[in-house]
Amino acid sequence: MTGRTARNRHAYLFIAPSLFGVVAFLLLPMVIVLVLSLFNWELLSAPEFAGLDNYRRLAGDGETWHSLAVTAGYVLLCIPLQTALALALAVLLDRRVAGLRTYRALFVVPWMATPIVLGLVWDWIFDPRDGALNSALALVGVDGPDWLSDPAWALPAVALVSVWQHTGYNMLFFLAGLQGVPRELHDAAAVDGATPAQRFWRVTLPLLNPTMFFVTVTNLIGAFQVFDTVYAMTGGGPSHSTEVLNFRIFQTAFKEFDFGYAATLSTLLFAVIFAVTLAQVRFFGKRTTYDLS
Amino acid sequence: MAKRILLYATLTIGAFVSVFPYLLVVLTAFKTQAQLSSTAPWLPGLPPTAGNLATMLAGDFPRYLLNTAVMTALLTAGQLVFTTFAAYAFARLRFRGRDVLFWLYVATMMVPSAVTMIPLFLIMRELDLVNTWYGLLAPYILGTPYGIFLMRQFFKSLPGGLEEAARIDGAGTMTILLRVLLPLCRPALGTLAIITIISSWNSFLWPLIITSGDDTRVITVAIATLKDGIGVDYHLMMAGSLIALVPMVAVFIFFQKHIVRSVVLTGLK
Amino acid sequence: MTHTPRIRWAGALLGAAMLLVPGCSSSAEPGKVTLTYRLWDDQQKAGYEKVMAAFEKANPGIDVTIELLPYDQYWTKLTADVVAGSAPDVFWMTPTQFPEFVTKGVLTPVKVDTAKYHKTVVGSFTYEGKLYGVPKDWGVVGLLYNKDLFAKAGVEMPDKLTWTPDGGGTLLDTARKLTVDEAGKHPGEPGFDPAKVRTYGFASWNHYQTQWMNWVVSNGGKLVDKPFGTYTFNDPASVQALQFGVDLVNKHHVSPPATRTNPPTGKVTDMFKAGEIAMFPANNALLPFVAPEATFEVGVAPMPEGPAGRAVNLNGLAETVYAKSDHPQEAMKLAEYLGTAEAQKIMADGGYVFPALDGLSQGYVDYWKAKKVDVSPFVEESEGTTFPLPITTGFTGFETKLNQLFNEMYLGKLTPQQAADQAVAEGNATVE
Repeated sequence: MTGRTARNRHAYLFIAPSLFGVVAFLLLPMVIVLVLSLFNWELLSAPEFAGLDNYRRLAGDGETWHSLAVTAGYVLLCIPLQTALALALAVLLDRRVAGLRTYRALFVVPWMATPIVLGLVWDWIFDPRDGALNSALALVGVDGPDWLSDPAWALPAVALVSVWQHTGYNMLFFLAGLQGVPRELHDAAAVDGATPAQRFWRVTLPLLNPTMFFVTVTNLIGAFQVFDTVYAMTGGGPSHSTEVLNFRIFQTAFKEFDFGYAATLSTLLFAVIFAVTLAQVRFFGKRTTYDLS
Repeated sequence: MAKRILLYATLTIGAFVSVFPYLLVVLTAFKTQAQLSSTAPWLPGLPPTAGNLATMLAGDFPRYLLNTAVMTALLTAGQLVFTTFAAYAFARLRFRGRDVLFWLYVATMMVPSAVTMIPLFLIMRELDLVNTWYGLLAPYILGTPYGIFLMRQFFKSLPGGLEEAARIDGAGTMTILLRVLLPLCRPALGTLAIITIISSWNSFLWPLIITSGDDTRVITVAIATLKDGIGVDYHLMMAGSLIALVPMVAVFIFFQKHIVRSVVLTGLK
Repeated sequence: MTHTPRIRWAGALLGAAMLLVPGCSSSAEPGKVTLTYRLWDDQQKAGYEKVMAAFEKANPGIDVTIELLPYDQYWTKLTADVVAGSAPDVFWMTPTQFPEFVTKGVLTPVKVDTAKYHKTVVGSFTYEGKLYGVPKDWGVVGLLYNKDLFAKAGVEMPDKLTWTPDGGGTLLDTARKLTVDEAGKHPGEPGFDPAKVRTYGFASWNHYQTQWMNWVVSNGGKLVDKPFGTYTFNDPASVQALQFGVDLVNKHHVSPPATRTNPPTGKVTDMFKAGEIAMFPANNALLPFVAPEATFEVGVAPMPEGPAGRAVNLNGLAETVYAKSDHPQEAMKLAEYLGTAEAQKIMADGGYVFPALDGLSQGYVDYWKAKKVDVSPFVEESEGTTFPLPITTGFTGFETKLNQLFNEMYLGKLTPQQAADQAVAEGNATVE
């Protein structure tokens, strides 16, 4: 009994520093934003209480619902691809491969590089005539599209940059997770006559669940909040085809100085992400013996 | 054998796609302004020039590199210590309010920082931390929800009987964490160190908002000032970015050796 | 073996580092006032270091700290600072951002002799009859051209470039001669392939400051009815002018397709630098990014004259004083000093900018003459008809929508009438 109380005390002591940081610097600003969604605030003048006005406006704001759809499209384009590729790479590299460390480092370079410069470089690559991408496609006889000015291709192009940037990064987590999968389990399954594919799906993947949960939850949060690449590459265009919600939030807050409504849009984005995360908790909770809650 | 070739072919193609955009950065960093306009981005400028690197290193850039290194070291040290304790508590100790607290942590990641930035800036203003090192470090040095989430997942994946066994041997909570669990967490700690170092090194918006003087200027902001409203000094920006990347690759290669299978863990099975 | 010492070591290091980290303020000398001056131009910062040294020498009680911010984030940071009450004492302001800040009481009126400064700059920073910023400099749109391409094509730059909405005038004629496809054919000749153009005679693209706004005004159209008024650029003359800009691309094929030039990723400047474009309307502020190390000789000509004569955008900046500055008197003193001939001459002679104060342009001209660029056409233009960017509240929010709509127009997906009607409607909805 005393042991348990002592451990309890330890627990509070252990989380105390981070709790202070989270409450003061993250939770408090977040609560302020949620409260501000009930205000009209033009940033440079004083806030005025507006009740649910902003939410009424949101209900009839077709452009916002459109940008929510764009955001969902973006998430669907990049999350499955970058997660699957990252896992595949991690599995390929979780063995004795000559030059292993070099490969790992090369795959992570996209995430290590200064983000602001990469926007400029991708502009070069996507140039419809002189760009590297269409020049390469021309070599194999494909007439590449006008990537960033074609409403059908702009969003996939932006998503492609995300996949490029985050695949190696996510691979890191899977690699670390794979180190925790005991070899004996694999060997036992092999003895039982399981094929490599079966071993992957039945042994490796279930044991990677905690990692998978972390990767999908954080990646989804990140993808729902995409901003930098859209700002640098398309400015929301063409024809609003890349106008993701977070871009709209930034515009509303800092270009239109309508901070109250930007807070409302942020609350919407928060609610969407929260719901999606909750669904993931449920999904992973059913599939694993680990306590995820 | 064929399988082996296929494996290397796949890895090599993947690595090429991964690195290609950065190759353009490297090539541009060694071009003169004239070569920049006369060669395709993926071709080298001949003869290459070290002039851009020299220009960057001759100015205030080394000082900003030092600022960035100090910031990165402090944030990483803080993150590794505080995150480990918090994540351990969330993953393996029972206490009242644990799950609510943890999900509050995660929820703070769900509100876009573009809007939380203004309230956070006001808080810093109240605390008189604007334009100080303390203000720059405070929001991240006590452990981030992201890092805590990551470590919690790793702690959770360790077998359950470890603590009981140690406790029977008379070990306290602290001893269990430091002597039993941490040695098993090397891959996770290595990963956490890598991502904290690199994301601190590349952090941009918060340093820019909370500080504005030369004393606290970091390299990402310095590089961004080379892009004006009207024009871009590509060759200098790329040179700056190349200088910024080299230490990160070194850090990565150093820390990734910790991401290896833990012998102890398999032995305990 | 054990990890404990390493953890302790890390904790001790952290504690020590926190103590060693430099404290909040650089402890000011007693009796000295420190002012903060904020700008976004890396190159001009060097000039202002000289200016501030001169100011500090003349005012021993005042120190000035220069803060350089990246242009893209300058406004985000300034907004955050204004909300927190911590904006710099003196900072740069553009005509398009000015209405937001002045109508919210962020800026202090200044007292300088307005007659001594360029009238378009003064007009850009005047609100309700008062001037709210010391005119700093101006940049004007002129026509940069590649003299080597002219020589190669055997074409002379006409004494006067002209344009008419129906495709008459010397501009289009000259641009046609300079546009060559891979087979050596010019637009209008049989067999000319617009998909395989090697060099373009002209750059027409979606850039309001250097492009379509100039066409509109030089065709007798109006951008806004009055300062702090509403947008009017969907009148017939404006739409005709917009059509001309689009025709240069999609009908006459003397200009690169919008897929390669539309913002935010447009590469017009790069294409001009690479010698793929012969004539390129640009603000003189672009010269430092184009002229040094250019692989060809850069010429400057005045912008073409339209049916209503020549009218070019003249974009001025101002030194504004924060209304809640802790040191209002000193801040005003600094701003006023920045408007004096002593300060502005340093910036002109260093080749940074055309000063807003009249009579100092020659320093800038001489600087560039030494670099073998004759910039006198810019001066000539500034003495003729010039217009500012639209001075209305809400432009900063409208800008992104405007660019998106006009991207469509240059791609040929919206007619100029449609694009202008939609833009004017959207824009006027944002005017307060």
